[in-house]
Amino acid sequence: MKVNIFLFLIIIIYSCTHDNSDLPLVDKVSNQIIFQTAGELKNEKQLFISGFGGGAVDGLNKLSIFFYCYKNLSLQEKRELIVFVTEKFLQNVNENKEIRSYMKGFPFTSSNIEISIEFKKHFFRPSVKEISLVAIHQNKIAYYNHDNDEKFLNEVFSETFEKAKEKLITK
Amino acid sequence: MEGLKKGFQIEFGSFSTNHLVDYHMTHVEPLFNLAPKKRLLNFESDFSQNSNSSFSKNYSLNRTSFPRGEIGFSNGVNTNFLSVQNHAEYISNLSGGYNVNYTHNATHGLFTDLYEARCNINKVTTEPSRVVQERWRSFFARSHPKELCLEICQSQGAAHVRNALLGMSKNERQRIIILAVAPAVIIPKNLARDVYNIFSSADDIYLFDRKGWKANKQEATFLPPYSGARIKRAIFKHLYWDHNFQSLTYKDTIQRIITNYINHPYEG
Repeated sequence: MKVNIFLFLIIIIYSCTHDNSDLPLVDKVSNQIIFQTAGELKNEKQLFISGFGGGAVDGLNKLSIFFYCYKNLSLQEKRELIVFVTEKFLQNVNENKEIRSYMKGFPFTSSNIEISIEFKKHFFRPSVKEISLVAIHQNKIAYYNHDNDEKFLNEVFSETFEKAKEKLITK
Repeated sequence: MEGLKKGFQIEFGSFSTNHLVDYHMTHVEPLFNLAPKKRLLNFESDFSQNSNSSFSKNYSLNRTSFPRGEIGFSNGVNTNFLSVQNHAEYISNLSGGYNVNYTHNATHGLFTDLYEARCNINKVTTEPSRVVQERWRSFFARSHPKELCLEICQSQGAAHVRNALLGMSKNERQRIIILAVAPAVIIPKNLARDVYNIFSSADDIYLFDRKGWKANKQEATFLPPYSGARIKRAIFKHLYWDHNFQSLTYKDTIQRIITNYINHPYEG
C-alpha cells in the first residue's frame, strides 16, 4: 500500500516538474560558486548547506550561504570557523572570472557576503549558554544564543570581521 | 529609453505591459530586435473562477506595525485560512509581536493546487501573484521611498512571489527582500534586493524543480534537518517531507533574517 502511495506521489511530482534551464546566467554562475564552496566546506569542515541567496538587481552585490554544523566547538573555534568560511567563500568568488562581468564591484569584500552557521547537536539543541548561531552580515560578525524558552535568538555580542581576524592572530 | 534595453517584454494574456525585466541578464537586446516576442510570463485570470472555489485575498494580523518597513507572507498548496493565519502569527511572534500582512493563497483542493503550482512554476501567473503585487504596491504607496519590505513565502508561495516580481518594475523590486522557505522554485537573485532560499534535506520539494536543482546542486549535499524530522525521515523515508513552514529546521534562520531586517529596514 505504502509503495503504491509513494509511486502515486512520484508520478504527481514528476508531472509538475519543469525545465528550469532558463535560470538567469548570473544565478547559474553564482550558484555554482556557492555549491562549490559548500562542497569544499563539507569535506574540510563538515558543514552542511541549508540555504543560499544574494542580491543582483543592479549587478551582483551580495552573495549569501547558510550552513549547519554538528561539531561541538568553543567560542574561539567558532570565530576561527566563521573567519575561515568567509575567506574561503571570498576566495572562490574573487577567483572566478566568469562572475566578474556581473559583479557590481570587484573584488568582493566581507561586506558583500552573508554567511550564517547554525550549531546543532544531533538530537538536542545547544544549551542556553552556548553560542548557537554565528553570522557575518555587512562586515559584522554576530554571535547568538537561545533564551531560556528556546523561543528567541539573542545577540550575545558582535565584532567586525577585521577585529575577529586580529583576535585570531594575537591568540 | 536606456532602461528599456534590457530583458524581455512581459505579456499578460492578450496585452503587453511596459515592464521590462532583466531576468536574463545576458540577453540584452534592444526592444526592436525582439522578434518574435518571447513570452516571459502569461496570465491565467480565470483559474480561481474555473476551479469553483474561494479567491485569494490579502489580510492583516492587525498587531502593532513596524516603525519602518513591513513583513509579508504568502503560503503554499493545500493551506486553509486558519493555517495561514497561524503561520502569520508564528512570523509575528518571531519578530517580537509586530504586524504581518499576508496573502492567503486560497486552496482549491490538493490536486487542483498541484496543477496550479505546475502552471506557476512554468511562469503562468494566477490570481495570488496579482494579490501579492497589490499588497506590495499598497506598502510602496504609504511608505517612505527608501523603506524596504520583507516577503516570506513557502513552497508554491515562492512561485507566486517569483511571478509577482517578474511583473514589477526594477525600482519596486529594489525595495523587496525575499525569504523563500522550502521553495518550489529557486528565486533568482536579480529579481529582488536580497533573496534567500532555505531548504531541508528531508524535504523532496526540490523534485518539482529537479532540473533547476540538478544544474545548481553540483556536489553539495543537503543539510540534515532538525532531529525530529531526521527520525521521521529515517522511519518513513520519502513518505515524510520536512516541508512544514514552522519546522524547527527553518526557525533560527527565519528569525535571524527577520532580526537583520528589523535592524536595517532602510535602503543604504
